[in-house]
Amino acid sequence: MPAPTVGQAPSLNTFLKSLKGTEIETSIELLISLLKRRQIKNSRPCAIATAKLLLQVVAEQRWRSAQDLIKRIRDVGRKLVAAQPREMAVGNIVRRVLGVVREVAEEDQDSTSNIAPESLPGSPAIVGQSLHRPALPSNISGFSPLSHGAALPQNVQTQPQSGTSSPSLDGSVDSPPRRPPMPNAGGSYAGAAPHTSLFGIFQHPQGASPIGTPPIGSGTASPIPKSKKDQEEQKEKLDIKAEVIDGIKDLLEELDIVDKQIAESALDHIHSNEIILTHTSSQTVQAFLTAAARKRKFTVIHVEAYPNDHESTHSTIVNGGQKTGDDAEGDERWKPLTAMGIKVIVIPDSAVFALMSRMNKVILAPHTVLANGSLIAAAGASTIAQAAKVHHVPVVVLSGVYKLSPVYPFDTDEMIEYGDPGKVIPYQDGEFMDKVDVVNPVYDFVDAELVDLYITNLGGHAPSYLYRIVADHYRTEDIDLTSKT
Amino acid sequence: MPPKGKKGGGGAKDKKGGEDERQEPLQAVVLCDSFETRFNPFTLERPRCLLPLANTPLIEYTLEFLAGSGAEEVFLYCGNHTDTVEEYLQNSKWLSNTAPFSLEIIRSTSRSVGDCMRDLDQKGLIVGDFICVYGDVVANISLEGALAAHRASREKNKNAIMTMVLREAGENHRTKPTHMRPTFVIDQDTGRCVHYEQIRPGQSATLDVPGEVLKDHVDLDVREDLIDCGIDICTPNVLAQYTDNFDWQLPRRGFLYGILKDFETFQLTIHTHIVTEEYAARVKNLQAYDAISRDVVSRWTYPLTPDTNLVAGQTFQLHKGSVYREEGVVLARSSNVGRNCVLGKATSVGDHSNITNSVIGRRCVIGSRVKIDGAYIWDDARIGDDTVIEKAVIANEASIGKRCKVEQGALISYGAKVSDGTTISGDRRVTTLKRKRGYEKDEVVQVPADPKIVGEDGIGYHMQFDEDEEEEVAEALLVGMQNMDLTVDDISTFDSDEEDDEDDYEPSHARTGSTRSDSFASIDSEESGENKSSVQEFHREAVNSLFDDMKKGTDPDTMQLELKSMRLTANAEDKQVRRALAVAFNKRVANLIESGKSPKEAAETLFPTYNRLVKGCVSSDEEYEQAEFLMFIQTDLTHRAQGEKMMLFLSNALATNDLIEPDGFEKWWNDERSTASEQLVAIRKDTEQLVKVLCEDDEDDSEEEEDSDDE
Amino acid sequence: MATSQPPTNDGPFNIVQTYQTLLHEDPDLTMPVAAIESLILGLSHTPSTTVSETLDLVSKLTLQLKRSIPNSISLSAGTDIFQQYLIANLQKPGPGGLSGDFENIRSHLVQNGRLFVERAKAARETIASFGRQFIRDGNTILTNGGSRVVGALLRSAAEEGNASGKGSIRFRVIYVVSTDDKDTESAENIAALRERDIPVATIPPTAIAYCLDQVTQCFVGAEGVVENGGIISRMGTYQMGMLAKAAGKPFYVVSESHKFVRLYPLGQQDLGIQQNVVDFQTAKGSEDADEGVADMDVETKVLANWRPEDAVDYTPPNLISGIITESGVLLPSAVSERLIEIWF
Repeated sequence: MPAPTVGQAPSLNTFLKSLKGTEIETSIELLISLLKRRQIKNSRPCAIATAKLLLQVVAEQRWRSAQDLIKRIRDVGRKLVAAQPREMAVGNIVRRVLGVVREVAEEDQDSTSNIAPESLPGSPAIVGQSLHRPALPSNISGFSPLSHGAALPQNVQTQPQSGTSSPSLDGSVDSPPRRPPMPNAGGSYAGAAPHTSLFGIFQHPQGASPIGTPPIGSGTASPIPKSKKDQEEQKEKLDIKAEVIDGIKDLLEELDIVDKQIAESALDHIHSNEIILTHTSSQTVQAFLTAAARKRKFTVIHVEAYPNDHESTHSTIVNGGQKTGDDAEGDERWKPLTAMGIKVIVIPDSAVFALMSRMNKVILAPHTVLANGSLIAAAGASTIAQAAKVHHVPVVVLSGVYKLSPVYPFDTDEMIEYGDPGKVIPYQDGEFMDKVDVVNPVYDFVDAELVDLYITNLGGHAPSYLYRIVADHYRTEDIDLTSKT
Repeated sequence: MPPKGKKGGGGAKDKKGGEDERQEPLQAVVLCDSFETRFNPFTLERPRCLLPLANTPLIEYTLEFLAGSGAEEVFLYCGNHTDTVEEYLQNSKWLSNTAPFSLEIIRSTSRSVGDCMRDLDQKGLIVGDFICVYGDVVANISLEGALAAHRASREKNKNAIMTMVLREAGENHRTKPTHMRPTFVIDQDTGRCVHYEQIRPGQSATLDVPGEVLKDHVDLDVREDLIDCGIDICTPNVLAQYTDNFDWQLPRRGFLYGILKDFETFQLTIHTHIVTEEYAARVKNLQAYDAISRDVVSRWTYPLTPDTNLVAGQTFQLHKGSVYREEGVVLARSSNVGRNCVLGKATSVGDHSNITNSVIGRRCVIGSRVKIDGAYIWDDARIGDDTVIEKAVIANEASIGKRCKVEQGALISYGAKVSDGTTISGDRRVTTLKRKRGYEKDEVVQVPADPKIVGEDGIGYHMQFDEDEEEEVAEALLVGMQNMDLTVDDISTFDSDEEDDEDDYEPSHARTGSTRSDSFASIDSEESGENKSSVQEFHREAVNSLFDDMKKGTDPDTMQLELKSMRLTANAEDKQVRRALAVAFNKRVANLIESGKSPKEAAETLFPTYNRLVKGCVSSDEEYEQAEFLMFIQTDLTHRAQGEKMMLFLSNALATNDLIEPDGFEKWWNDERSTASEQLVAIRKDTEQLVKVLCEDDEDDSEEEEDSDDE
Repeated sequence: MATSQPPTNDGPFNIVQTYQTLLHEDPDLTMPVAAIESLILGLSHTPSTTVSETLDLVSKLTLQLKRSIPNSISLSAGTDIFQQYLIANLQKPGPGGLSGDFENIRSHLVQNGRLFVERAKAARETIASFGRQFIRDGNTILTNGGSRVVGALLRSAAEEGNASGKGSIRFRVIYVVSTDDKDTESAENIAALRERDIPVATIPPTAIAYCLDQVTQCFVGAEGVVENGGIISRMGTYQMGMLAKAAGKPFYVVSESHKFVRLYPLGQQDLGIQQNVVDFQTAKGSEDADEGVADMDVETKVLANWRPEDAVDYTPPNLISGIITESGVLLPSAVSERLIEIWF
């Protein structure tokens, strides 16, 4: 990194600095082009940038009701995601923020509608849904952990109910369930979700045609906000903004401490004299190992992740990893493992298989974790996971929840980014590049069944359990940002 | 990049950068027109910087690059088609209020890069160090390094006025020009460029590195493996230099060379920053266009690849085998799209068609059983069934009939139509338009279709150069002489550009343009046979000394003597002398005009004082000598302010002093070479009346009608 | 059709016959829905005034129904949901007091029988509309059986391709058809696809392994999705699943969520139905087939009218990459959760 000069290339830092006081639209465009130029890349920076940007979006005065705000955020989100679809963290953050807004909006309503008490979990809800409050379950069903997959289900699923909803209760229709997005409340959603989906066909008929086709879905949704706004205008406005902003702040907080939280469980997983194999210069992993290193002695085999990440890997090993908190001013670094008396051995990616038999554990850091438990990680991860499988070495994946994407991997190829072949073969080598196509995939797809354990800031989970966490953090209606609901 | 962001960031880390410097916004100048005709016939209708490279206009890459390196103020110069460019940018994100930097399009009558620079200097827009790039640069390098280097050398030596960014690219590389190799002699420890030449491969490469250079520098690198990507980091002083030396036209040829030559006098240094990672190149000509397109498709320019969708509304997606498809591409089941292809929105491909290594624009319709390999097909083109297209360029809305064959290197311009069963051979440049040699700069007119080329019901003709030979010859001649007076070896950028022009009509380096090359040989032969460098030497010295003497007002006789002696030492021909004299005169006149005289007075001051000089080399009865003399004057004037006026008054003076006979004028006037390029025409148009008077019979040639009435 | 009363109208209501008629009249009807349909008709025919009475009736009818047909699994999915629905609702005192509430429900059900059927079909459309996301340009799909959902899925993928202006999806289908030429549904699906210019190859079950390397993914329908996320589907699915797993190809189950059935089979013999697939024979004839006589002996009976082509097998969850339902793509592990909720 040359000494920065007049023409300092834009980066996360410059972006964050520019945010304050810059016209919001400009910031949005700026972030978009930064993403496109990969001047902001990797999950955490993307997440931070997005969250901060959305903070501005919320702060701006433009929106009138929660619905407006949701719409606005969706639009922004859509643009950002389109700019770099493979940086899923962006989409995740957008969805999280949407979730916050919806929640606030609902609480806001609870205060005004007496639906709240009855609608809470278990059987009570059932009467409601089948008879007097047909609308409710639909919303709660929004939480169905099971519908994390496809883009369509939410439109369609919510569709019949929006048909059935009786005017008086519109509110509850388009403002989804009132459940805190945390597992503890899992019961409630679990209680509600299946009823609608399995009992779904018994829904009260009155209202629009029950046959669900996406277009109608969005169509029927639209009229509702109208009638709703009026009654909401006055009260909703109150302090939604404040609350939402707090919500986003919490999000940023989470991003900031996620490594620490994950590292807390380090000692449960790393034992004395173990041989740990890891990959890339991930800060999360560094923090994790460092935490363990305070108490225990073990050996780390570090795979260098050539060609895309090896420099930073090397520097991480020697100088310690760079702390990239949201406000990390460049050079704050972790203490290098070596300095803590940990033996670190660097090996080329090609040696992974040979050494795997001697490993006790493999620790990976993903780029994105997908709802079905599979993950996208730096190229080479797949090799490692496969090798680990063969040698029955447990594979542990450290991932902040913000990397957990509700998107179902319909086509994994699309999620792989192809980088600059110049890193594989120097551009100088004219003859070579004339004769040979050089490709440099940046990521790898690792199937769920190759992973034994996920450690997130919420604790450890089996891959097959992730769908639950997804369901707890994302609203179904937000999974598909492209749909204009 | 909003200033705050940049400065903040800069401020945060910037240790050494002086306060003042940090306050200045980073400025950049984009030269959208490099004042050449290398992309004919395409540039007849569209500005070069809007030509699509992998379905994205060139300018987008350049601006994206600047935005990426944190430029805050960008000034954009474009010669012809300014309106088109402006219109385009108006609708782009670059002029929207969310643009990353402030972009200003500057309209000017500049005829060369030099003029732009001078103009820029006058306008005084530049406040500090600035980046100077062409409108056809494709790069993803981060300039931070270069700027740092520049700053560093600035701190060491205040006279370091420019840093050239050069991309290292091994021995032979598709992205390097094949026939003209810029060669830099660089001081190893300072990275200073101490000598620059362009070598024609195949030709015995001899550099004439000045003695003092060898004396001063211990370790010298002679680098010929560099891509000159036309990215310069300049100090405002650069502009000043251009203004002082109004005969500098080209950043390398004129400026660089000049600075290096005058190092002794001005002590100005130019540094180089050699990049060994990431991408930087310039779409100089069709060869480069081909090479860079391939680089883009195979992601060497990452992240500036199609699937980044730089332009709003693009929806490219990367599929296996670096195939980029936009939404709505319809492929027949049996069609096959091979590696390294780009397919634009709503393009459809028929059954059993096979496409490989090609870039295809939007809304193209490709028939069945078509074979396309390595072709560049722009938007809305239609390709009939069973047609075979090799490495060719097919522009917007062109349509190729059934069972056609378009061979390697063919160029088919906008709206051209090739009827069924026609074969377009590789050296063809089919277009519907022709640049008419009007005094108005880009006046293009429809040309009737030529069935021999495009078949019975086709549209378009072969923009043939052998057809109107004189144009070529003269253009070349013009060039030949221009670099003469730019005092460089005969392979000037300009020249080489024209050379490119010749060779690179074939994107593949197949050199089919033999006819034109021949027409060239004749020109070059001017110099060939004699020791070029000495000629250069002579010419430069001669001009300078003559000029100085005129300034000092030295007695003509002594000048005469000096001239003679110089000439003998360099054993130059009369021709050289004439040229030198002509240039010297012009220089003097121009300089007088600068100092406020009217062209008329200026011209008159020379005569009869220097009659003897003229007589000395232009005998009053050899009319061809006289013609040539005029020609030299004319040619040299093409790049001077008020050239036409000077032409008029000089010739007037020459005539009144009977230095040149009417016959001479007549001969000159009728010589096609004097009407070769529009500049030339422009230059001589004022003189027309005079010539008319001098020699009664009417001189009009068809193209001059509209001129006769003005003045 | 709901209105068109089954023949036995005047006589005492015959649930079995009704059921058969419904299935017969509407080929698009799935067994669970048909079952629900007939139960509702049953309700409407027999005036039951109290809650317990109604529940009684329903369970009685259900039992009849189950007994009447060889493979009651997917049917029971429907009847179970229905029963649970009643129980859940009837036990809740509503505003109108018990009775009022009860009346409401009853009428609600009786009036809207048709509607429920529509919903069920709508679900299928929804699922079909996922087609595009799963099927990409250049894919080769392996499928089997006459599952209407799978058929719809593939068709929608084929149509969407050019309709949606998103560019063509060119995919091919390898259809596993049972050698006996009795399976007409697959024939229909195949024809439908070929009409839409989708190349379809038909192979015998024996050829699956052979052509699996060309396949990008597998889609199968299901008669029932059981608690552990496994599926019960026509004979041969299990085998396809195993092969797909072995070849590392994704194996998707396409099924409406009303096919979820509360059953936890431990193996092929544990499906609670009897099918004499494995029929050991000696010169003296077949020895008594006793496999599959599960604990639920109430329903077990030797079925004269069991046909080999009705045979089903059980595909365990570990072979299944995902279950595509109208409410999204589930992991097998998510199914139990769903079922549990309506039962407890």
